[in-house]
Amino acid sequence: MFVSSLRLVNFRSYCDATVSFGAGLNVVVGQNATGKTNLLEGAWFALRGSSPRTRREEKLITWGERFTRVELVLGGPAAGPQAVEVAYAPGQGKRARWNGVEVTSQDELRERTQVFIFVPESLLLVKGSPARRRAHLDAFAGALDARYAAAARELQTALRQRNAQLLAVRSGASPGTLDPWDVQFARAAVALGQRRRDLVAELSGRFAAAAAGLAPGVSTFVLRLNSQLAGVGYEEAALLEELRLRRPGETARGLSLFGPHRDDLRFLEVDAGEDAPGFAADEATDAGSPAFAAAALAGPACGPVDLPHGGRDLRLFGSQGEQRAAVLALLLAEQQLATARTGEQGTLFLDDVMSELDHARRRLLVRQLRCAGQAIITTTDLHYFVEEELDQATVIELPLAGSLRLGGASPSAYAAGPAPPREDAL
Amino acid sequence: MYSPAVERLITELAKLPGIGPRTAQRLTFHMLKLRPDEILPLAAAITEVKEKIGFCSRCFNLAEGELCTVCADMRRDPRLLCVVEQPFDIVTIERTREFRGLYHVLGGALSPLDGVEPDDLHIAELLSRVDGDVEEVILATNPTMTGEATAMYVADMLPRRVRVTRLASGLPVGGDLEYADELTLGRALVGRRSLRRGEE
Ligand SMILES: [Zn+2]
Repeated sequence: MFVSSLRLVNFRSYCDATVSFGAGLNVVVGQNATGKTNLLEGAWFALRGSSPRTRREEKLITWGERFTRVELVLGGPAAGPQAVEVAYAPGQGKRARWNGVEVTSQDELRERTQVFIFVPESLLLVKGSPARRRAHLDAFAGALDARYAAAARELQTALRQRNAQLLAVRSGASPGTLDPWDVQFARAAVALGQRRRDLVAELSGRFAAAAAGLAPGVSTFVLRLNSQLAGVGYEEAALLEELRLRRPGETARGLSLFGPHRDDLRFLEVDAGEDAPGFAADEATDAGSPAFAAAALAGPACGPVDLPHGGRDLRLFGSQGEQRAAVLALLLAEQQLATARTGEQGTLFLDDVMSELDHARRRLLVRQLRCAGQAIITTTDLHYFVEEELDQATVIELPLAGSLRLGGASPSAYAAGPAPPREDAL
Repeated sequence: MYSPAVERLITELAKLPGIGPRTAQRLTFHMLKLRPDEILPLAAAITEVKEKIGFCSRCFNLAEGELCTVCADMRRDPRLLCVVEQPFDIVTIERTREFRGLYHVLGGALSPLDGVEPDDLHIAELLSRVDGDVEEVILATNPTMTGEATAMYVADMLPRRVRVTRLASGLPVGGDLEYADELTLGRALVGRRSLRRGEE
């Protein structure tokens, strides 16, 4: 399936605009402040029911209007065109319809399509908190696999129950009352932890390959999961023993301090020439080594277990360009994995990713995108693309500042060529 | 806003589980519109049930007297004790006709988030019942996280000489016994397994 058309009503800078897309590569070109990012955000809003940029959804509504509505049509071979509509009005909430039928939850919306977006705020995936990275991974995997989503929910429930019992014990309840919650938590923790570990293992090879074509310089990027569970071999019995040892500390804090709720996804850079393959194998060695397991068991009462080797953490030491490349590579890896699992290629929305790449890397990215189903990519400058790429792409030109016009201020779409653009009706 | 009598009815209805203030208001106005002979039977039924029905002093099942019908039935096997969360679950298990022992109703499941601690359930009463005659305790709490945790906690508290079993798997995970069909529940009862390690 691919996004074949999008209509934005009272959405950000769009009063009422409709735009059509092609099934492959789409290049949206416009100067700054012509609504390029808003266009991608609007498409995402229709397919996910949320904004990738802000939690304050009233900001999505055009200034002075009372509501916003986004309509999107998916084309493709499957079951004929699908129409999605998401409307939002402060005070009245959000309403989503799929082919006219009400969609009751964002999860339900998420399961219908595979979409991936890069906007400036996406850099927070690398720069932001571990919780953001966990949430991103879980949302991606949960949409692919209902069992993963169920495991993530189970963990949340078990964690909250166990934390409540830890507080009860701190206030005087018998320590034995924790036993059943240790067991429930351990079960849920290992169930989710193993799935997350397997997910990152499946992503990491694809990530490294995608990053190789995007990262500046000659560095190699590595994606890895930092999980305390590696220290107990992802085993329930070993985790239970760990919880038993940590009980005094956890009771004192009234908080679970060990488990997959403290996992983090790390983006590391290793020098090319350093043994990157060996790096990938490290995780298995760490988890299996009795010496390491013992060290982890005896380790400090809190804080993530730091695996004993280096690599430059892009969260702390990466340049803006490196961080962008890492996020892009993760999205490409996710898109490839989703395709392998579902057979659906999905859509990538990429906002202004060309400007920071050099000529060779732009060609590599376009080549990757061409294998990746539909991609909608914005740019300020068509010269970031070569003629041959534009020949095969759908080029959409945004009016300079004309989006906010009453009635049908549609951006025009035309097939680009070396000659001056020829206008086509949408 | 409303007269005190109307306010009082809305307040009382809103205390019921699953009924919010809006629903309570709607129900109240509905009742106000009804003729006395249409609505007073409800009041009478509530009064009657509260006057006649209490909890069995032995197993905490619903009872119209000191003992419930199961406890009062001399043909039931006192060596078998089935532990459930709610009186409702007894009805479900009775329907399978696979169980001839006695019951014990805990009155809920452990849930620290909701402030339900062991002392809030009839666990102490269960432990004092498990002496002499009782040979096996079947833990038939719901196959939910809270039900599993409760079964585990109770299993640890029971004396070692008693066989402790749990319903065989096959029940819908995360569901309530209430929603299990008779055949599945019957099979789960027959195929119950020891909950303690090293026991068969
Ligand atoms: Zn009774």
